[in-house]
Amino acid sequence: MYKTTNIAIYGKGGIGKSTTTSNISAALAVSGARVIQIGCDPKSDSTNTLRSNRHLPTVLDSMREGKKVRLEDISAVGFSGVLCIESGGPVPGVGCAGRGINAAVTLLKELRLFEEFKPDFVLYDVLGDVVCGGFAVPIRDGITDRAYVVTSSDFMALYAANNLFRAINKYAPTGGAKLGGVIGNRLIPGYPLAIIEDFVQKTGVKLLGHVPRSLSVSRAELYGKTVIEDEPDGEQAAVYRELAARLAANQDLVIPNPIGTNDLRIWARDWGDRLYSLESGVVEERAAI
Amino acid sequence: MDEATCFFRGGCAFHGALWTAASIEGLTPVVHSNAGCVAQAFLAARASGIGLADWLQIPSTRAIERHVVFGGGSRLREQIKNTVKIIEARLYGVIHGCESAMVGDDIPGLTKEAVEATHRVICSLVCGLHGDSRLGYSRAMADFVAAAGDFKDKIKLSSALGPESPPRVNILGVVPVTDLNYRGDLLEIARLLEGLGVRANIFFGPLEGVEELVNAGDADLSLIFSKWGQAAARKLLELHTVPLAQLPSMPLGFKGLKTLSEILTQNLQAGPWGQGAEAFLQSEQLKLEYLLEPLNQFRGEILGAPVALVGDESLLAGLAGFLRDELGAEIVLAIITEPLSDDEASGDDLANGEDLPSSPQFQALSEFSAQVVRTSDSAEIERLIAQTRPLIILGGEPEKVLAEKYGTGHLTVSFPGRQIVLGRTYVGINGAAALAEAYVSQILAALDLNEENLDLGLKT
Repeated sequence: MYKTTNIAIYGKGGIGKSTTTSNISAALAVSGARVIQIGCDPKSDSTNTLRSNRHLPTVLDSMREGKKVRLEDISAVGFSGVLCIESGGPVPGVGCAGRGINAAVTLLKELRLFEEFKPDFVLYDVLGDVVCGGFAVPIRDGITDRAYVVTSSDFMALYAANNLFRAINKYAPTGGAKLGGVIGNRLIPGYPLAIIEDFVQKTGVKLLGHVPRSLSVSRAELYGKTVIEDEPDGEQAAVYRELAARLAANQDLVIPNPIGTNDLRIWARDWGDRLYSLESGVVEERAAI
Repeated sequence: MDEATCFFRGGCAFHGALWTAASIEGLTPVVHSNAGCVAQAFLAARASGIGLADWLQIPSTRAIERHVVFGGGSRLREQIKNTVKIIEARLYGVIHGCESAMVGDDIPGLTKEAVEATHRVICSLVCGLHGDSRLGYSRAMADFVAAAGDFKDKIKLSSALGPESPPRVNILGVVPVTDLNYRGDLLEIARLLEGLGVRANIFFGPLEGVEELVNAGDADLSLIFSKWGQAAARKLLELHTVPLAQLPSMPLGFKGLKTLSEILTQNLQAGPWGQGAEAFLQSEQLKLEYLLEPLNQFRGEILGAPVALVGDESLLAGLAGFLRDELGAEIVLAIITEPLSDDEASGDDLANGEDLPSSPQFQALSEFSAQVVRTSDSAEIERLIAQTRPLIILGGEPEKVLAEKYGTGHLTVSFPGRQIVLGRTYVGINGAAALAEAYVSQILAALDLNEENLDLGLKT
């Protein structure tokens, strides 16, 4: 009897969610797990690096055509057997992408995707912030039981993470997903990790791991590959493997305590002051940098 | 639970917009909404008794999830194209439901596209989630009068306006369906205005509604019969400098007619049109006196009975004025059940340097009735009725239940009313006679049934 772990991965747009998710999927698959990655973003580029940038019709493209949709038409087997699916979305500026996510996920259930494929892990890579109820679908209705947030140390990325915490706070008490943790991404050495550590501590969540900024990620993407495929023995691949292992083992799910909007601004300003002191050479005791 | 806490008193703004569009003779509505909205609007209209005719023929996109996810613009484009091929109309009016509003389908853009393809199409952007059906009428009417003027050269008009033509007056604020008697009321208003020397654009009814819509910008005055007519009147003032004037109530009885006549005199330029007005007023006064004369036998307890009124404020103000001043009734309670207008809800005061007086109907009601309350809470309405113990309630179907419970008379005057209403009117002179007839009959019937009143010696 297989047991599926359903995971939603959120984060601000452009922060590296798809790169992180794809590398985690690849690492899990290489370790022998059956993995499905579902891109929940109208851009439909979540799984590109798992399938060498080859064309994949999206679920919503197929629905739009009005024909009977079959699983084989909307899925592709990517690197190491990861099953890749893109929900897709409407033409920018028309329709409702949020409703599209809902419709796509509903269709995948109707097509018995999960019973047919019997995955160990399903990773939902969800568009940016929680912009409306539709984008919260993966953390509602028992679709996933855990969400992770990818973030950098930039304020707007943390602001988006905090917003997701608010959504989790809303849905978790009625059976929605809890938070598995935060993943720091594209971190340069120095203060960024300290900012994220402070943020997770204040919101009562866990830092699952962090991924340093690396040229090998950019290079692999240009080749249409994950780092796990392109440079399996490299340091960056080891980082993703470690992250994937922690994610697979993690059962410590929490309901976060989001920071109030005004308190978040005060917290950010405080960090701004600290960085200013650092740049201007003022060294304060316990600067946490 | 066996008692409703809130009764249906109006439907949604989409319903109001559809009732408006469907009531304009010569205009075919094109509905962009999910399947069920038109049927629901029809069912809601049934609460007025007769409801809408021909609802099965209303073209609708019947949008489904696909049109929400990807946008329903192309489906609407297709529907407009097919409708103009299949249904011959002088004008087509696009209205839309909540889903397409939420996903932002470009209704004005698609309407413009259809117009550029030489189709005669106008649109309204009001949708269900904006509020009550009266608001739907208000916004749809404003959108329609604003857009219809562009089609003056494209629609063949049956009668051209000449220098000898009587002044034209737009009748705004009589709401289809939620004003139960709107057909009869509009015909009576048109008759009265004709008698006073003025031609009325009533928009709904057997006359050419589209033609009146197209010509609304050329009218000499917009007369506002309820607050729901303000938006369209303002639009006509803004676009075509049509002056506007507001009535303090629906005109009922001779005083109502006199007020109507005075407002016309104040707001229209003097001219040959008013020459016959005085004679008309006299003849209408005599007619009403003649018709009401048999009621003199009931002066005293019957005509002076305590009355409660429940419904929309413009209607109530008209009823209260006539019942008190012309029949001698005691208005113990007036309950306004309609929602606030946009202006009222936002606290805007139209009197501040604007061209409209502030809440004239409310002011009129306050003058006529001992107590004026604004509520649609059925428990509150029952409490007020129980407290004031009127001998008769003039209201809607929900008040009929209260009338039976408290042994009072009841006359259906407001929405919802489960009656077939064809040409009935409670407006003007004919409306005054009809109202008085029904009103006294109901009081007599109530006295027959009410043991407590037997000692009045009036039981027949």
